[in-house]
Amino acid sequence: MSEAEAPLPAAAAAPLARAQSDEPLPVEADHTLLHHLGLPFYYRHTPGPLLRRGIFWFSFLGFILLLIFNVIAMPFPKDSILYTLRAMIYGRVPPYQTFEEASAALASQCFAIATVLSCIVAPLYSCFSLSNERVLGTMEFLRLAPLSSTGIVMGKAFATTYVVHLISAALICFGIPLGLLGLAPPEHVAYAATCIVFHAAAMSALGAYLATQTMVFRGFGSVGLSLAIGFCAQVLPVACVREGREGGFAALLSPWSTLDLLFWRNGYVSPVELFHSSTCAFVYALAAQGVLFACLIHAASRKLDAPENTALRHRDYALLLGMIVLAALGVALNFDRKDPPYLAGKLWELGALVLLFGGFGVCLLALIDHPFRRERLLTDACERLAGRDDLRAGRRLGHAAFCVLMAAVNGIALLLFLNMSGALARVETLLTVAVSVLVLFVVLGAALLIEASALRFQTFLAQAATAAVALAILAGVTAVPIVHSGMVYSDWHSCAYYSEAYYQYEINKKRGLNFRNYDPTSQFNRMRQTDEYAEYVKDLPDLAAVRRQRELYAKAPIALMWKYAPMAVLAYPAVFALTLLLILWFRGRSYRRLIEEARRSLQRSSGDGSPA
Amino acid sequence: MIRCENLTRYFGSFVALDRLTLEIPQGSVCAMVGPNGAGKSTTMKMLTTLLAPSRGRAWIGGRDIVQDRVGVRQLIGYLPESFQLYEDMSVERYLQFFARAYNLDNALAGERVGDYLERLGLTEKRHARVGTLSRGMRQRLGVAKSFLHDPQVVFLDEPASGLDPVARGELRDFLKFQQHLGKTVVVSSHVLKELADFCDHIAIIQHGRLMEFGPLAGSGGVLARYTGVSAGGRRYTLRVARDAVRLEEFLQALGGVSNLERRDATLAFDFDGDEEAAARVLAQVTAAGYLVTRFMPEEADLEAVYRKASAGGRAE
Repeated sequence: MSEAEAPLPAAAAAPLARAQSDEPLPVEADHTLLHHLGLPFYYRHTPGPLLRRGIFWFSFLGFILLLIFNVIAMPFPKDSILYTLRAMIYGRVPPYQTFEEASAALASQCFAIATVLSCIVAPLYSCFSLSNERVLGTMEFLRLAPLSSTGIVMGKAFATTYVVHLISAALICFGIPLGLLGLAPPEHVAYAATCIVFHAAAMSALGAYLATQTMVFRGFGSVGLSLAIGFCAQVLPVACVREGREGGFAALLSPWSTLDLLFWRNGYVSPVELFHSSTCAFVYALAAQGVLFACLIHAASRKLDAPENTALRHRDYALLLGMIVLAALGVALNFDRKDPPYLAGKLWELGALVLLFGGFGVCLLALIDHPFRRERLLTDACERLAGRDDLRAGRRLGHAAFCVLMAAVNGIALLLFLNMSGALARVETLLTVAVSVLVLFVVLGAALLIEASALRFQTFLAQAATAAVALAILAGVTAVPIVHSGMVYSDWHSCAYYSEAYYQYEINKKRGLNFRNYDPTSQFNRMRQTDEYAEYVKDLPDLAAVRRQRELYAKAPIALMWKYAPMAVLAYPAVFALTLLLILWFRGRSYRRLIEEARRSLQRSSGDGSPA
Repeated sequence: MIRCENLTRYFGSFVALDRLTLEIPQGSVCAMVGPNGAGKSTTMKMLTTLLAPSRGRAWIGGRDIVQDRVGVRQLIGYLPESFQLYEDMSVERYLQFFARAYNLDNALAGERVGDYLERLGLTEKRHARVGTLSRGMRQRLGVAKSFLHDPQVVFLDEPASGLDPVARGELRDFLKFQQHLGKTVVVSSHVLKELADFCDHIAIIQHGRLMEFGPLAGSGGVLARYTGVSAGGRRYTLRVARDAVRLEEFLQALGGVSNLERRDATLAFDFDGDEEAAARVLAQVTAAGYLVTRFMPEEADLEAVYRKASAGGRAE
């Protein structure tokens, strides 16, 4: 037999024969856990078998190297070979003093790599995968499959990167016993592992949500956004590691700060608590990430169903606000009897800070996520003209009312927190109350303005620009009274302070008491001669008057403004009312234009001038 | 099988579909015809749950298209007018992917994939990458994907676009076969002559409004209403060598003949009777000494129906 006629080896002949014949390819059995969980789309955008094998071996070798370098770094006896080897690599000073320390370090390294893989690499890749489906236009066929949108989003968020998650799971499983060997408390190790899992879920959900929001730069825009927001979510809590009881619980929201707290600092020194309990802090941190995950997946599936949908329903925003209020309350109630008394006020103030940023942040998100895009409003107008309207006008105002209600609840909670902190009994009362009321005003105005700009302009850019300019004007309108009130109060406070000091000095001098270091007479006289202070000083003739007025204005700060700036007290509410009226006028005018546009459009489509 | 009640869809102030109300019975093939931008694709997208209606309701197999989307998706197959495929997959893998997405078990999936590859002439391309396929082949693959999970209702939006005449014929045969299997098919196309071959219902949509809907044939059928041909009757063309004017008078005297039109030596008329009665008419004409050079029934003229319906007129 010649070489040309020699039969092919069996392994080479089989695929050739199959390619030549029309035998069907075998359908791969799909009994994976993912499939049973309703995630059948894992084989789209997942690496092929060869690449999967490559990833596995690369990871395996990397892990072996990590293990070797950590083992060598352990404190072996001086006469052993490993000691010599370690000295060659790390020098004479061993990186780890004890085996326990080395074990804990290895565990934390495993957790850190798992965090990189599951909380950074996997979410970015799944975000790209979902984005890519939308950019290519293949999502339509996927949506026709008998799966809910949530199922599709979950599939794309997790199933595409299940290989990466499996490697992370293996690392975490390996790290848990090492952490325990390293004498880390079991609850810390358990929390670190759970935190990575929850955070990975939340980050993947964030990627999925952003992928349903934008397709710019062929889908890479959402990947970039995901990277930026994920970076903030993972890095910012690291700043809270040193806060301890005052706000250290926020460190538990990121796996990096958690590892920092629990491993790299060899167990946290100051307590990380919520409601004065570490367990509460751990549970809350996980619950917060769980709620975030649920909300983002829900939002992604709603946006996938129809882009005109709002990301979240009102009840979801209420839930988020509830979580923020709970966190604020937890921080405020971290006080222990053994703590110094000043700490209680500080904790309530911190709680108020959480409400100020977190609570009003949620209100702002709800405001931006309004359901009344221009297209929807035009449709509503057409329906109304055609005599087929339902209660959508009520619902439109209902959304603004909901945002205002949320802001009001948050504002009241903020005031209560400030009251508990003692801030309301102090001199800042006026500003505090004014800020709270004015924030409500801004929220109400913004709610109406955003809707009005959506009614008025067609392009998103024009809508955003109008809303931005109008919000800037609103901010200005609110800032002027705040700054003015602050200046009036500050001036009066300075006058009261120096007058009191002067009168006290005079009394003491009469009594023969000698204060060598401080004589306020010159400052008091200078103040009395200055025009802007003269009026205040005139009303503070003696020590009793100063103290009486100080007590009065602490209780009723508006009286101070009424006395020294009565026009402002009348003018500012009038300005607010006028601004609101202007906004309402703009909104009404925009709405009338929209109705006209709808009428013209209907006339064009019906041809006879009558509504369709 | 498919029921719509006041189905309406706005895009801003543009009314893409205005209060569509119709009911397509099970096992029928409904042609959805209308000019570009009439609202055919919007209707299909709403019925396939890809687009939410602004108003109105619709049910497929008794399942609400808004309340029970997943349930509806189990019943339907859909081939959009323009669609994208996974370019990097082989043809066979692509179909297997969707077989899995529709939860077909492995044995059934393998069987179905092989079956549809063969039916749609894709067997030779089974190992080819989707990205290398021609437009016609991609269209066939799309059709195969739409029927893969054995849906009860199939929506096909311009399924013949990009296909050569032979492939169109094959597709027509394929759809006829599906009709025999009892599937409900809703198909939109601009090639009305091809639709007339196998459609039994027609919906004419213009400017988002349903201009006409009903069964194509029968005494109350759309064809009869617009072309004036009654039950069992058809329109015939008769051509003679000479004496066409006299023949016109002769035919008018015969029973069952109506709507007689003459153009030179060719006469067209509606005849109310079966083929045997028509043959008797021919015998009478030849017996009267007329030299007949052509006598044949006209095909169902959907284009005429469409034109008349669009203009808002009927034969009556």
